[in-house]
Amino acid sequence: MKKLFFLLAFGIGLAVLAQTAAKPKTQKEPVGDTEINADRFDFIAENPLTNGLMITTNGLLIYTGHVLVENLRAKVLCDRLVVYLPKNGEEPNRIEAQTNVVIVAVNNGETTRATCSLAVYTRTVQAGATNSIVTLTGNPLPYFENAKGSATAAHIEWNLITGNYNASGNLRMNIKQSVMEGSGTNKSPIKLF
Amino acid sequence: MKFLAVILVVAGAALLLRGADDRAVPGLPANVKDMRTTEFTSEQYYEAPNEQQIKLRFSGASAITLPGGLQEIRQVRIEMFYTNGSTRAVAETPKCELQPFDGVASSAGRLVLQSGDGKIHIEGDGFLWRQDPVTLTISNNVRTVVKLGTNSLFKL
Repeated sequence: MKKLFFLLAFGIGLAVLAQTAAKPKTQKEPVGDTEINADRFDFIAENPLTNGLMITTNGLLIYTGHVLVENLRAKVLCDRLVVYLPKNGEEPNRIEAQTNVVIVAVNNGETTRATCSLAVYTRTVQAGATNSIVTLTGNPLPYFENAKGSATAAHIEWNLITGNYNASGNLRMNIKQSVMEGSGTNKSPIKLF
Repeated sequence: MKFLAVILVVAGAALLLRGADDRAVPGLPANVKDMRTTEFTSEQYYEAPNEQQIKLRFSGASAITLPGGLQEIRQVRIEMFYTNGSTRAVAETPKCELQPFDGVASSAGRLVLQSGDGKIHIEGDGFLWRQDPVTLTISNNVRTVVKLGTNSLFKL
């Protein structure tokens, strides 16, 4: 079985770009203002190229070079950050962190670190329900770790609404022994992350 | 693409012909040595069916014609609007050079951009602005502050 569902408590930092839209149950600490620093900024207000993506956009915000996104809960570093602006000034429905992506997030006192070459936040609304997902992909394989262990997989998908993770493809996990030792028969099932 | 740009010289605009400088300005009549305009405003409208709505307003406190047809604009303010008339974003810079017929403005100076709702603040050094299609590049030291705790993020 190549797909595993995790009920995960950590928050990967790209969510800072979508916190107000998603409001996942596990993120209740104050966020503060989010600051983005970069070498260069491009605002393409109309008719932007979307690399074949079937999305309607009202423009792009592109940060390039030593991009650092930071707030009280998370840091995201990458070479390029692209925000797809939807029509009518609504919430962004797609944000991409591209190349050398490093995400460090603190949630409930636990620090999580993730790396990948492409992290994509997407937000869709279907039948009145909002679905917000962060997908980590690329080469080298996405990697994440926290106090309980680490894992790599070709495709890691985090549902910000439900808090579920779906990891697939070349999945490899390392669980720290201390976590295993604490899981006797009378204990609750292990939550890896 | 239907494009409408109107240059308004607002009431009170002063056209100063300075005789002290004998250098003629290319693109202007030979007897015109310098031309300065105050309250410079250029507006661009949306295409139909929103052709009555202002899409972009480029304004400045003064404009000086430079050699080569360039205009040096002081106290520059670039406003973008949604089709419903609400402000999308406002950019301000102390000074820039405008190529009026190409719709290109640039400066090595600092540019500050604020979203219409005031929740996004972007600033940096050196910029290039193109009017059609609208693009803005800030080339150095870009800093953005997004105010969270609201229901909007990157609303630009």
